[in-house]
Amino acid sequence: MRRSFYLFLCILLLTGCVQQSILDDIQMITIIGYDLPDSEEEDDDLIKGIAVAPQYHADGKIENTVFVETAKLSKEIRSQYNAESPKPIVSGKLEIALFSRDIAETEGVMSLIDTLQRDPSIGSRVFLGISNGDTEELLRTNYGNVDTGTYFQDILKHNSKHGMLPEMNLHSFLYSHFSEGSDPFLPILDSDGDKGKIIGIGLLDDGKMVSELDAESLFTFKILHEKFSSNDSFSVKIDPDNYAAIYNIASKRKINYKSREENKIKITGNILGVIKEYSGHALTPEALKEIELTMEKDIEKRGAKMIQSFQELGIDPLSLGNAVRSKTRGEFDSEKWIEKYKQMDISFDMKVKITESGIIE
Amino acid sequence: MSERRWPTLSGPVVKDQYKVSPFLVFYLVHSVQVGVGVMGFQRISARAAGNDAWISVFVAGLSLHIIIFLIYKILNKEKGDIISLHKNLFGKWLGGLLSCIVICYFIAMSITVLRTYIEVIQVWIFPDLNKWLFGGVFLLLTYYCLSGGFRVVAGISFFGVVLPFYLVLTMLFPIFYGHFQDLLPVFNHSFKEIYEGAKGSSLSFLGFTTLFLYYPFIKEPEKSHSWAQGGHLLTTIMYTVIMIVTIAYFSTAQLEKTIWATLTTWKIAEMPFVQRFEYIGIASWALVILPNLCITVWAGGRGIRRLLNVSQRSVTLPLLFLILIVSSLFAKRENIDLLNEYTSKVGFYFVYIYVPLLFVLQYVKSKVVKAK
Repeated sequence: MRRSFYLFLCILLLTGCVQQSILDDIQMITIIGYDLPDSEEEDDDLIKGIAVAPQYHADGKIENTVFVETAKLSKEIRSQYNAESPKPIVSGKLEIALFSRDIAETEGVMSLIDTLQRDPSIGSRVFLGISNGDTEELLRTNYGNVDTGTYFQDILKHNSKHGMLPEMNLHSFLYSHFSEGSDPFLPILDSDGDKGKIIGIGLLDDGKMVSELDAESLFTFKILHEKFSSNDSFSVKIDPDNYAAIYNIASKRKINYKSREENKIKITGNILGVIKEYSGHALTPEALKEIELTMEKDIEKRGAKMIQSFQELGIDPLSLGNAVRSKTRGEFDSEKWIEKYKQMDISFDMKVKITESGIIE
Repeated sequence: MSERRWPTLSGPVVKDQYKVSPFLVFYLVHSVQVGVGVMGFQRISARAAGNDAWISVFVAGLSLHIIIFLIYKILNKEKGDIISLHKNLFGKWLGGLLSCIVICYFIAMSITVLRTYIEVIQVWIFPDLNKWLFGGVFLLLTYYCLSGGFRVVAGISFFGVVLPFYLVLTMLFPIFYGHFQDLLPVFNHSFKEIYEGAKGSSLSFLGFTTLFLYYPFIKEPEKSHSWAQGGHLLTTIMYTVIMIVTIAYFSTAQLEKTIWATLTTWKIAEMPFVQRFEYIGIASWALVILPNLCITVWAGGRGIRRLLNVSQRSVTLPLLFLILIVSSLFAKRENIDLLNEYTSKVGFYFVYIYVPLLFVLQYVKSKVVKAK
């Protein structure tokens, strides 16, 4: 009897203590974009926030509601969204956050990322990106019968899983930003008519975008950055009218620090690939060798140029600093390291091996 | 519980029907250690020992094996609990005073556990959770467990280990994002830094000193020694693994900013049926917190009952009220942090200084008595 009394008491006391969030009664933001306000005369500190919340209708149609507000703090923007939304807005389903190129280049993204990192309801897998043009236009575009947030998330997800984009979500971004020997980068997105598109990556230093790489350089960058396997192909021009497309199976990078004391680092990339397309007549062993060599040279040239520009800018998106730190005894001084890094002799060596040439000879 | 007064100089006599099997000590030791500390101990250790913090945690764990050994040496000789030990060593008044301090320490521990757990719920899930209401309901549940006596407490601690054990698997998610080169170079910190890190991790190991009170409730208590060591070993291994994963997952400056590193790693977990794993994890944590509260409150109540010779049932309810009121008085993050810090500091000195001291005093006294 007494037990059932306690049980009754618990049931009575435990219900309705806190605010409920029933799925049908809330607006879930899936994508949020930040931009500088259009009008110049207003206060400089203001930020324009654009949020998109999908509405799922019973007939299978998905309608994207766009909220645009301007305020000083991003959470202040949210309370303004609530003022124009029929249902309370929650951010637990946020998939991607975009910053405009203007913000990334001038103010930096860290003050806006602070709220994403502080809010316990936002996951670590949220993707971050830079919008190339007008963020509001990018988010207002209708990309078909899909929820805009999930659409962009899918683009970034499959490209970083199987494509040429190195993975970068909220957690990896924060890891790189706060790490002693690494600088983060973010994918740059743009709309191409009614489609979204990755047009490259922006390289950040201290939260500000200082340089960028175009989509063509992504393959080389990913080889330098991490071990991966992808489904994208790389085309090699052997001579003006002869080319081959190589479908990359697996790539590994190795860093040799043996002579780091003499300020020398050697990066070796290793690719295993398969030929997917060949414009020549017959794929003889000699032709294969030539393709391998041409590809090696091509990537080496691009890679060396890329590394040189990183050194000139004093950024380290390849996390070489972390790798060196893990081999250095005693205190690691990141300031000193960057100075050293700028003068460092970093060589890049590429090895390509073509294992198969498809199902015909 | 019987109301007979026991002779003051010998240990307390517990009827066989109230005793528990020696193997349950494994769960009693392990479940009282794993509590609120494990949610965020990484930051405190890493602040001092950086990427060698896992060594700190491991060393702290190993050193406590020796302390557990000493506790068993003391208790096997005493054949009683800390109250009778104090009385024998220091006399009625000084002994009683020391017992009071120990009792206060256990009560402070239960306050820390309850308040920190409520804080976690408030920050992570329900910002508008009423701490009085939730604390009240949770303590009601604790009272229900305690009213069954020590056997029920031991049973709860068994479930508090076994049921939420699946949470260990969630440490797999951050491994995919781990940068294990961050662990290198190993031993890159001075002994002092590693010691500071070990000290910082001590809150997460505390609580096993409740052994001093439930020892008479164990059947053939000498046999339970290896079980106690085993329970502690499991804690040590678990914490070391969590620490290694955390160092690999976060960069140093990022970890220093993260208050609850273990909970933050859950944010990366992705499962088809749940978007945010923290909600499930924190809810499951109630099962870890319950035995924690039960054991510490039981130990506090038992101490008072032994000291004042009153029935434990009449002590428990006022004690729970006190815990509810005091824990609800802590409102801000800094205060809760301070509470955690002081409890772990007191616990640290209790374990590393007071326990060896007791051992030496008891040894000396037994020699003196023999010489007479």
